[in-house]
Amino acid sequence: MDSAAAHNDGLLPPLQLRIAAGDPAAFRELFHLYFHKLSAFACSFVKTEEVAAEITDEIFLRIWNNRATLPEIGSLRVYLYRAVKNESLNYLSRKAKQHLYEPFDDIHIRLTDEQNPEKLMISRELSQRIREAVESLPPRCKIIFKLVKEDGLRYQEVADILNLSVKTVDAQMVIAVSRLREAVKEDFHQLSPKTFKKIHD
Amino acid sequence: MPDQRILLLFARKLSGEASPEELRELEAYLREHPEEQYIQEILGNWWESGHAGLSKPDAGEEERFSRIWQQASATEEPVSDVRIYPTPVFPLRRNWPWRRWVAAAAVLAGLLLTAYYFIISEKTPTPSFASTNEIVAKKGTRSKVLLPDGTQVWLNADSRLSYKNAFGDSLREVVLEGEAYFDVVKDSRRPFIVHTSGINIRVLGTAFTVKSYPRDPTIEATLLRGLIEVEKNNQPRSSRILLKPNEKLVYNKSMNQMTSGAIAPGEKEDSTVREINKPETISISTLAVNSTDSTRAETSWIYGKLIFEGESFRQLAPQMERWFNVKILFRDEKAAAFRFTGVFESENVSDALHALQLTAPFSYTITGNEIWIDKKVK
Repeated sequence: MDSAAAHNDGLLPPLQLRIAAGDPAAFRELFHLYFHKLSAFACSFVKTEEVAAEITDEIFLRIWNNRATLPEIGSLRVYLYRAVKNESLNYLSRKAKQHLYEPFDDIHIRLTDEQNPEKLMISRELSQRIREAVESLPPRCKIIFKLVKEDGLRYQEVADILNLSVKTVDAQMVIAVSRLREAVKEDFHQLSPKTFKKIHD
Repeated sequence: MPDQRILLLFARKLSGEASPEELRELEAYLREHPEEQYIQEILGNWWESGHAGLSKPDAGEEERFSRIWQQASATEEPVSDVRIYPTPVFPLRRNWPWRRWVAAAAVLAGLLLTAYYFIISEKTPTPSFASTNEIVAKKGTRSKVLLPDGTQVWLNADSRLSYKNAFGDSLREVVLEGEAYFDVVKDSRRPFIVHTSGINIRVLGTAFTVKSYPRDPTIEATLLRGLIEVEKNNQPRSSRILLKPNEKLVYNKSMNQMTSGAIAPGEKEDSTVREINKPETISISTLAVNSTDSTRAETSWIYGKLIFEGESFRQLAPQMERWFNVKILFRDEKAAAFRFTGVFESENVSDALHALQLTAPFSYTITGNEIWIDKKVK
């Protein structure tokens, strides 16, 4: 599980090197690949979109300004998320005038809006039910789930970013998935034969 | 309810973490459990759909990138605003030999460096991301910029300086809105030109300031060293004026109807103001010889000081607005007409207002960013 490059992360190592060589187009590509995800991640800590976006800006600036050291970074993706997390915690610490460490109890995760349920061949109700199941996950579980599902991160990467063991990520994902499963199952049992048929068309 | 093992495999499958053996194990289980298979299929679809929604590009994102890129690629020097400890302000009566006081204060003050803050934005992002570089000093801040040729520019509050990416290829051209001090690196092959809304200033290697705020009625250029050539930008070449050290040119924007008559080069004279040709448009004055950069209004801002000489409160207000990033509004016309001479070095606007109150009777209330000036409360 430690080979990050195998998982739609293949783009990054070449980007990393191109940026290190001072290629603006590569920097821009990286920005568009990760700005949205990183600022959503920052927002789960700092709660304010503007602050989150500024923190993310800052991290990208840092990447460019220190591009010479990029080849030394093992996983740029993990580095980006960790940097955003640390900067967000710094921001909160400054604001609270105290040191904060991994405040998983106080994070707010917003999930990306889903596509049209009809396209998924599921009912609007079921879509809503799944969504509610995700929203009601405990904070730590939810952020792990979001990073894995929406940001497409590997377990190992999530573990590195959040300072957890891979085992914990694995276990938390089981919790998340079984809650989702319950939501679908409930729906399944409530289906009238007609709806059931429609789904299978 | 499938056991933990199955849920673990399912979670890993969704996450792309499952090994081929694990996938086979899960499949074998599902073949025996059609209902579970159905549930997992629905969830699998739902899971995959989320990824598709992510890639849609945000409209403002490219613009955001342009700003970051501008900031990242600008060759600015991370320096140096001169912030001064809250020294007493020196509101002095007219005709007072204030310069001595100011000079003394300047010696005492020294230079304290402090963090400053500026933002940089780009107006027209292009594939090279850097066709135009723009450096902005927001209200309440000053910033120092190092241009690609080594020229140093100090930007006063609420000012922007832009230059093309091709800066320095044959000409070194910048556009200024606001106030700036230029210390231009000598390069006779590539003239340095400052464009403002009314005049262009052409230099070969020199130090000078330009003040060209959109809402000010005038544009000013003050030469400290070297030689600069000023032309009106609607009549380039036919209207050149040479400015010598310690001369200040004032261009009146509202009288901008120049005749094509040549303007004689300015010569230093003892008279303080000598008007040339079209008096309403351009005038040249000589700065007092016994003052230094840090004690005259044209350059003191570089040293973190806002100097004013006999200006009315109403004239002073826009300067204070830029300096302190506030909005000053007058409830009382009499208060707006009070005249002040002095220098601010203090850190905050209420110190400054308090000092002004020592010489003139007025009251003020601060609400957020707005300051209301009113007659003195009895």
